[in-house]
Amino acid sequence: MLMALLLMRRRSLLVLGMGLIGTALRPMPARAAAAGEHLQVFRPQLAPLPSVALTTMQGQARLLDRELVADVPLVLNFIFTTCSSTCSVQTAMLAQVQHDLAARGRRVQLASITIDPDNDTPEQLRRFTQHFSIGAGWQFYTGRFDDLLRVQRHFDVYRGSKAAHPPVLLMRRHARAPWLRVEGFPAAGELVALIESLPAA
Amino acid sequence: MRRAACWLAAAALLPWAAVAQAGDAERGRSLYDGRLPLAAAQGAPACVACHRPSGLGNFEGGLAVPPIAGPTLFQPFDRDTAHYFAPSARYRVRPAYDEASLGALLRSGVSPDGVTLHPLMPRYAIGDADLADLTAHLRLLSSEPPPGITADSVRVATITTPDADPLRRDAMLATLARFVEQKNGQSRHEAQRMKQAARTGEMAMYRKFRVWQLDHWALHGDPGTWRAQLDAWQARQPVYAVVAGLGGAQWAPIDDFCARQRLPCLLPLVDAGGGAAPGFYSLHYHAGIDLDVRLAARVLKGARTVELWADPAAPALAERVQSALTREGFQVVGEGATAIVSVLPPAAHAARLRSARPGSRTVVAWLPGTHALGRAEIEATLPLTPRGWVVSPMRTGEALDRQLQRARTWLHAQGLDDVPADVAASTLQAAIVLGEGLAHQDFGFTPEYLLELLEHGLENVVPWSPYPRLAIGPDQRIASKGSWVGEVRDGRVDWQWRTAP
Repeated sequence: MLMALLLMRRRSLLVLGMGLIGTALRPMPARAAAAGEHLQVFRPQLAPLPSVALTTMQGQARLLDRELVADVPLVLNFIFTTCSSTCSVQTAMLAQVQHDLAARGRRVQLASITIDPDNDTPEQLRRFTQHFSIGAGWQFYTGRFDDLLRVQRHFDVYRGSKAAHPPVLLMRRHARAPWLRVEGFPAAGELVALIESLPAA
Repeated sequence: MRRAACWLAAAALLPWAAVAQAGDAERGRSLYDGRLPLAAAQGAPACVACHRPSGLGNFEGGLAVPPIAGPTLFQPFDRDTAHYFAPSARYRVRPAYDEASLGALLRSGVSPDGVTLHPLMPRYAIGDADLADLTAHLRLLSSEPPPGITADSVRVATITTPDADPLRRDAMLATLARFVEQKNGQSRHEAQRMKQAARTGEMAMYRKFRVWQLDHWALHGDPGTWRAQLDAWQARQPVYAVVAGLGGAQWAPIDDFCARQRLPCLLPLVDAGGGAAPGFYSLHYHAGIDLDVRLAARVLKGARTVELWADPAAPALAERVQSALTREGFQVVGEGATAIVSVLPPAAHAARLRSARPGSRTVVAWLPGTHALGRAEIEATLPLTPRGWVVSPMRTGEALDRQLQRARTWLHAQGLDDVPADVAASTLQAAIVLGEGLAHQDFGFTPEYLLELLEHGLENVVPWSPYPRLAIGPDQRIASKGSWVGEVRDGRVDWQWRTAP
């Protein structure tokens, strides 16, 4: 238990330190350039989607492997509604992306899965979305704690506690296309560019 | 590390603490908290969202938010203060901020030494008056040494109300007393080590070994007088935190005290009164019997009338359950109802089942609340229940017995075999959590920072408690958010975890 907390703090301090060093050594005036430097994009090796029970923010039962198989580009992220900073930032950015793509007549499916299902009931998810301008084609999901743990492990986003969750987006062009994993905080324009160039195979 | 020893003392003496305030700090607090808008790009959050109530920063989702409270912002980062950061940040040196450079940073995102901040830090078109007020607030934020804590010791209190169950109260007090005795037995004369370290320059992690002083504040008389009693205790001999506590019908006056005095109150044994979390400073393990009534109401949908079995010696509990049932649309009647809701403790519930002998047409919903149901309690009651439900906020049966084994072993080693293990386990959990939090307060000891650390760390502490999955977060102060709902058929029970409907 001591180790668990110690590790948590060490990790946080280490990353804090890295952030300070990063900004100190590399002044980054332009927003896009700054975000780009922090971005990691790669193709993860993922097993087929597990069949996990989810609940939408309207309270409907769904299955993960039936839900994420549209023929339009998909962007998946993980949030929790009492997150103090990053989840809201990411959600606001995705709302901008959805808006920008819609303006160009492009369709996209967005899926946000909570990593704090005990607190994030469907009603709580609905409350969270009211802070953002969220269009059709974007669903928020909760579920049983153990089921959502399985989903987080499948996508390698589980880091032991909700506050430690990494800023990750998972995307693919369609249900048979390879996944792309984006780590960091892309600007909306960067993400639109990434979505438009998603590999088909 | 050695220099950290001077931190608390220095916080009170540094010159900025005495500087006459040009701006209105109270108005600045409203700007910081978002009660007044800070001119910014649309949708930019208030400072508090990321830098948190303590102003000592945050780490979440891969993003490090640096501390901005007075003791850090208006001091230079140099090689003397760099020890607050990880080794990789040792050589991040910057001058102290002042009002002008803070304004420049908020408007342009550029720090006094020319570093552009991360794009996730919003830029604010802040006016000069707002800047002066915000600066005044930041100078004060987390700058006062909190009460009840020194470099060598920390004073904590536990609180009981006159209607607390005497057996559980004594179990909690015995557990806490022994925990503190053990904790202090580990201190290894740290004060002496600190003196030696000052002479020899060796590293001493004194904060891990503060001596704990434990007070028992036993409230007496009418709840209307509790506020004055609590305030008087805190004025006479201030404590840093409240660890555990036991009450009966009312806990709101104590939650109110925790909020007014800014005391972290870790409350594993008193529920939150059924509603939302009662503020930033009180951490409860469970929402309470009201939540269990709501969960029971979902499975008793067919019943319009219910009979309530409650302990006549605890009328306040019966009253609370009755009004919760009424809110859920049930009519509480004497005999002849199609459903029975029992909030009796295990032995009384079993005796009542034996005398009433409910048939298979009567559904019995048992809500034991804070009474833990081990295998013995389950086996003594369920064979007498042809059809029904059990709603328990804690683990039950063999899972509970396994969970409490750690506490039983500890109690046995202390010669406290008579102490109920569920009370001891939750009490120990809260005391350990407080100790862990204290040991990890890198930037300062303000109560807000302690609670913010627990927002991150509680779910990582080894669980002693019979409540499952303890975790809080920003705006979350109830650690376990649901209850087990078990369907009883022919003496067997099938459990499902349910969160608030």
